[in-house]
Amino acid sequence: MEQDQNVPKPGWLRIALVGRNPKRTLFRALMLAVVCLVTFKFILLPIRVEGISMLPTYKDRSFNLVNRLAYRLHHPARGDVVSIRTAGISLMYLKRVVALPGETVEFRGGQLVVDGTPVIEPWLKFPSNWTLPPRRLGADEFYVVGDNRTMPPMNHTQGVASLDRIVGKVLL
Amino acid sequence: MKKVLLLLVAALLVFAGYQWLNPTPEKFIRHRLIDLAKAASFQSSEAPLAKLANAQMISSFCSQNVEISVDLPGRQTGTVTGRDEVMQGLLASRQAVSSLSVDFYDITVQLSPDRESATANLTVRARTSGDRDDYIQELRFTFQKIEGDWFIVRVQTIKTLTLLLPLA
Repeated sequence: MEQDQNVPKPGWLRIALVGRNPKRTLFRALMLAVVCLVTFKFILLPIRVEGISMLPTYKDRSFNLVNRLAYRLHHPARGDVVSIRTAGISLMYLKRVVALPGETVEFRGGQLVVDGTPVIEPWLKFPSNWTLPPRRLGADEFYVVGDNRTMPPMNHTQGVASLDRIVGKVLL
Repeated sequence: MKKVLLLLVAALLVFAGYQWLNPTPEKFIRHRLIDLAKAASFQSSEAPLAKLANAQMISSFCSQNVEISVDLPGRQTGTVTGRDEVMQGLLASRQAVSSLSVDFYDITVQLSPDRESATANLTVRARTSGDRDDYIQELRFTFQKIEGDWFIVRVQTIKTLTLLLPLA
């Protein structure tokens, strides 16, 4: 009992910084770092959206996360917003999947047409007058395009992305 | 114990020095590409002499018969061949825009089995003054070892998203 009284109590600042048990705090901090590293490198990739091609769905300089495990069990579906890698994942394109492998895709006066049938796109908020001839997609090929089609089609990055280029699905 | 530690540190320093003086071809090419991006970037305040020096530096990275092929339908398509044309193009581009910022990302270098040539894939991000959006493009550089030094012999644009040909 006397010994306990002789041990100096840690100050509030030390408790606030490293806790009552510094070893346990260090272990917790290390575990947190490992969990964060694994989560944000291999599962949820943090991204910053740049540019206007996905307006109004995703604003310029907004923050988002890419779920890298989204397509482990199934392929992207129409309407999914996906990230597409370039030479690596430092810079990626953010686009919406509008046509799936084996389908024929075209634009008629701003209307998306897949296999000859017009497709309703609820995410489109701005008018578009794009007219692009029909193109057939191969196996593992997806047609991706942005939500902002107010600019001429040649000024809008769009086209066929192979499955191996699709990094994941945008989470938010 | 102290002696062992000192020896270990000395050995590490020698190894690091050797690595620095004799970089692997992959490292050398990577550094060359970083230097290229730095030399390609310029500010509006760049002096005429510096413009010339940077353009000369870039062209010195290229072989005499270098070929730069740009295939971006709707934007720019064409081929520049030879060091002189590259030099002229660089000087013309420095006249056309007041400033340019170039960065290379995700550089991967692959050596050929005979270690006499190499390809480097990367993504370039460029921004000119007045442009709202950055310009992003995948590029493939082909290097060749000529008289002991690595030179760029070919540059090609890679299409991340390919446009299909219309159905007949």
